[in-house]
Amino acid sequence: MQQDKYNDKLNRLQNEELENIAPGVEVYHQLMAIYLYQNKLANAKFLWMRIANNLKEQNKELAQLNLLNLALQHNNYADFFKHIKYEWSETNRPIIDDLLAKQREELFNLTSTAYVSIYEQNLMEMAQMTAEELHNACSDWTREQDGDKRILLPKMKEPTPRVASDDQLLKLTEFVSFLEN
Amino acid sequence: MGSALENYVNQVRTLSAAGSYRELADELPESLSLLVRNWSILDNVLETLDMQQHTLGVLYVLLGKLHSAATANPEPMQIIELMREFVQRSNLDQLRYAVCPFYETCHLFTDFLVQHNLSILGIKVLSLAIDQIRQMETQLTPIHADLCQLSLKAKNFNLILPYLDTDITDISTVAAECKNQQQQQPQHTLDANNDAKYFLLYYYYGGMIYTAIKNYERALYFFEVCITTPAMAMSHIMLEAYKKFLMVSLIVEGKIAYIPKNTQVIGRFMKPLASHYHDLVNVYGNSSSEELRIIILKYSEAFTRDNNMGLAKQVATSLYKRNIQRLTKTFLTLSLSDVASRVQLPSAAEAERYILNMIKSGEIFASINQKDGMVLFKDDPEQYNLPDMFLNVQTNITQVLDLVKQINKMEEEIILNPMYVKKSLGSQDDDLASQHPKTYSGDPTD
Amino acid sequence: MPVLPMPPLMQNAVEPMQVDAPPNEDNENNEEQQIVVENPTIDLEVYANQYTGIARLDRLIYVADVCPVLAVEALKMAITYVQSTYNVKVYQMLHKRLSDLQAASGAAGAAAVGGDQAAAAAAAAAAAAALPDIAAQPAAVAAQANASSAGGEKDAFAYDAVWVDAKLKKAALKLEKLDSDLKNYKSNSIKESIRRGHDDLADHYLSCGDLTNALKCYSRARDYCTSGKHVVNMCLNVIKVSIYLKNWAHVMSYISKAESTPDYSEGSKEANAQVHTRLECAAGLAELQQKKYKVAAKHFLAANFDHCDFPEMISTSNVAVYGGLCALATFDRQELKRLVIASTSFKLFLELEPQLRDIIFKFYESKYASCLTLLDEIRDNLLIDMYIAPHVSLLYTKIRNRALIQYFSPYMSADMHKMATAFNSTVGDLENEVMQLILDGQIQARIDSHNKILYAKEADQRNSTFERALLMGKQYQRHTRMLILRAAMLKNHIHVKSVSRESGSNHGAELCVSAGSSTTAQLARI
Repeated sequence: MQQDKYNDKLNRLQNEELENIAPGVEVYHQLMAIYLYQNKLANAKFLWMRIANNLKEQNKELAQLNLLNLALQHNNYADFFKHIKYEWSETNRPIIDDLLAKQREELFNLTSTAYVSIYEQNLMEMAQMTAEELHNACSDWTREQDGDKRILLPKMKEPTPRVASDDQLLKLTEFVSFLEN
Repeated sequence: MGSALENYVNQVRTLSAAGSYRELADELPESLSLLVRNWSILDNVLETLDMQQHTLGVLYVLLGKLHSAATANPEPMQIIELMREFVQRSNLDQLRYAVCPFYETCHLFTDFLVQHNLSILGIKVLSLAIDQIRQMETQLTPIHADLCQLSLKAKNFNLILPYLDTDITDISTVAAECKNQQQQQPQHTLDANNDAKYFLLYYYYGGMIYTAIKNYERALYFFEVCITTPAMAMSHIMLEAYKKFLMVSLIVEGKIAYIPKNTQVIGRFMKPLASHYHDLVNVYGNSSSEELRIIILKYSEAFTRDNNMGLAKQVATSLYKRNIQRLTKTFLTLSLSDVASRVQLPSAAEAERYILNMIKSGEIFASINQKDGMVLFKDDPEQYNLPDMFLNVQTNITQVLDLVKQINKMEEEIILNPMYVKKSLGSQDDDLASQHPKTYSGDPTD
Repeated sequence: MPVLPMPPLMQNAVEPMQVDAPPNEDNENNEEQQIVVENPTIDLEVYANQYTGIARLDRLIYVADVCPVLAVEALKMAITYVQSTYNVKVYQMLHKRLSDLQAASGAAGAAAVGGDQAAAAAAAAAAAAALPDIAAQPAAVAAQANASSAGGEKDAFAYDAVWVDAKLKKAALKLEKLDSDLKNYKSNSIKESIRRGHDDLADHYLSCGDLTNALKCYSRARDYCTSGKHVVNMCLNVIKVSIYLKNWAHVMSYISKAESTPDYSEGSKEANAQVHTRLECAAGLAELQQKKYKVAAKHFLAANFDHCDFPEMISTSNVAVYGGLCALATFDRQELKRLVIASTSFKLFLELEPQLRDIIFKFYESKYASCLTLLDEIRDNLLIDMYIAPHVSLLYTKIRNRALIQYFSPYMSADMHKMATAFNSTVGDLENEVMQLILDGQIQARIDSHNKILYAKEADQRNSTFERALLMGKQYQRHTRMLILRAAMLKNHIHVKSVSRESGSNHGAELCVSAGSSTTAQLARI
């Protein structure tokens, strides 16, 4: 699993936070970045809440991370992709890169399930991409002209093949009859 | 070191060496006031004792230190270190003779940390304490409530969640421990409601933690346990839990979940005290977000005072979502502006945002057509024919079967209990019979 | 919905020149009733003559309550009628109502004149009076004139103090006599006479309008019943008074008492036909009031036309209307055909109400538009009926929904424009109505709002079975976990005892984090 990639690191950092009276700002950086990457938004939210105020004010990178956090909390893709363009420090960069790749992928997956059609301009706004970048990212989508605007028709993903099975139904019947008795 | 303290050290050493832990545990409570009086030189006492060999002696010194913390004002880090070392190194066999003082130590330690704003540093210590003292994983101890409190205060739930996720099957109480040890209950824990208090607090705090991380179903379960605890009088913890229970119910079910009938306390005391919340429930039933917004505004002061304003906002959001879900059940297509007007959102763009988020979180199945501004609602694509759904069903079956085994075991224990046999042969309507699990497990659906 | 324009009386309430007008009693009634009937098309005389006793009075008073147009006429009829009874209280009340009403309408007439003038230089009105500033004066004069003209006409209905005194005396005398008779019978302990004595006394109370005492006396007769027939009779009396008192639970319990009397259940059908019909009607009425429309319909449908003669309770056309409407609102097509349209006995009832008969037939023939139009036409007449009025809008909604469901049932998809035409409604309103029906699970369909088409939707049995099974499993687990925990709680004696305020046992629990906010605050201790 991709998610496991940072688990060991996460455990170490979490322990460090629990045992030190004032953990270094790097601990918070990485914790925040990993929470965001793993989509543990509740954890990220509470992490931000427990960080001492002076750290929040003094550390620019931490504040930037929180902007990402807020954008994700509010499902605001445009803000997210805007704020992720930042000179990240060496320790954080790999995690942030992973996060960016993951969110991009998620955005396109979501768009392809949630939209029958979407204006190119809107998607560019959401993904913070130029028309060209967008074109490369989803080259297999259909494009149409709607008046003077370009509209994209996302390609639906193939549903996973289905396996019918009476065997499962049988098990289920047993389960229900068990519950009813 | 005063001679009285020397006596203390000698007593601890002699009895520990002789392995007379029971005797030691019986006699130490009398020395507590002595220790508290001599708070300034307790560190010297500690130097003469070993955590492993003299666990009981060290425990009482710790207790003395915490009791005197208000006057002594010790260095917080020193106390934390001491506690950490103690829970790591103490001898469990000895500790078993002094479970109640150990609980008390943990409670005082918690208070101490909260006062010094160092809650986060106590989380690990108390989690170790729980691991050490509980007799099985599914046993609830009074320390659980402390751990919850520290976690809430520190806003760090990583460690507490595994505890909360474990379903409790047994409860360790001060009353029972003291009875086992044939000890007098210590003065300060004589409070008849102490055991109930820590029980209620655990479920109340637990519910709050689950609410905070938005696991509303589990939160509802915790609040329900809290408000359905047998009660002759109303506890304020129950009242607060009841208010949150009502709100979380709305978020989870859109209405008030079933409340067991054995709680007259709810009807008599809590309902009138939570009238704002009942109003909220009634308005929610009308499905009008506008009305809901108005009533939340109207009662915002009360909600803020009860610290429930955030939850009230979640309730409002849940109604928007619920109304959108209702639309998916009735419409195949609908324009975004119609969605907005039907669920009383300010604009079509806002409606699109809600719908997109709900698609993302799997709450509805739909797709948006920006070209003509319509939404197409779809059915749940789940066909219940994929292997992972099958696995899901099977896990469920296994869990249920495990539960049944557990119930059967409990039933067996009760049937074999001579008290039960005697009673059930006698009068039918005695109170012990009500402990018989069968009386509850009539219909699984009720 | 009933029409809700302000009744003329209320409009003048704000007229400054009428400060001395008596407070408007209708205000109170309107508040709780919310029904105002504008255009009833009934002949009040015919309507009133269907009933006797308290039933007639109650119904006339109700008409006066809800229908300003007929109020005066209704009150006058009631006064005429009440003079044949001992009911002095109602007589007085009716007179008060009547004089209030006349004073108000007198003032209303005057106000209308004043209003016209103020409104404009309306030529015709101006001719009658002088300048707007002095409008108050002629208006007041006109009011007086009106009042006096009303007074002149009122002669026949003038308050008759002599009559009141005489009636009061007579009533007291009769009461005394009946009372002493009863005492006599009791001392002789002849059961039958005692029973009759009680009944007579009750009858007298009823005539005086004292329902509570009437009920008491009728019930007391119970101990002196010597045959099943007497018991049934006692029950019928109690039922009658309980209906006047609107105590429906009481009505139901005495109906079952009557039905379980051996004499009744064993006796021949023919002999008991009247009792039977009376009980069915009473039961129908009681169920109707408790909103159990389907049961009510069945009771009314079981009434026998030839034995349906109890003007002190209900009229035959009432049976037709109540039964017919309840049936329409709750029966499915087969039931409607079998129990209503094909019923030979109910046919006789329906012939009294040709409009309703048409409605039922139109409904059955799926001519919903004309059915609904006809229903609207009779609405006002229903609203002046005290028993059916509170249920009209609910019954109408039910009938409409049933029509919608039936309309759609044979289709896989339906054009909502056509459907709207069939139901005299707009597409938008129809969409809302259908949406509610879908949510209630009454129609299995989805709306394509884009193309305004309603599509039928088959429920997927297999999926819903899975869904239900998983849900059930989840509930079972939750339930069982709670159970195990509860066992542990009992075993360890966890319960909140009732002790006085615990002293100082604060857990330091003074904090809590609420979801979505970071505030901390005081929290109650145990």
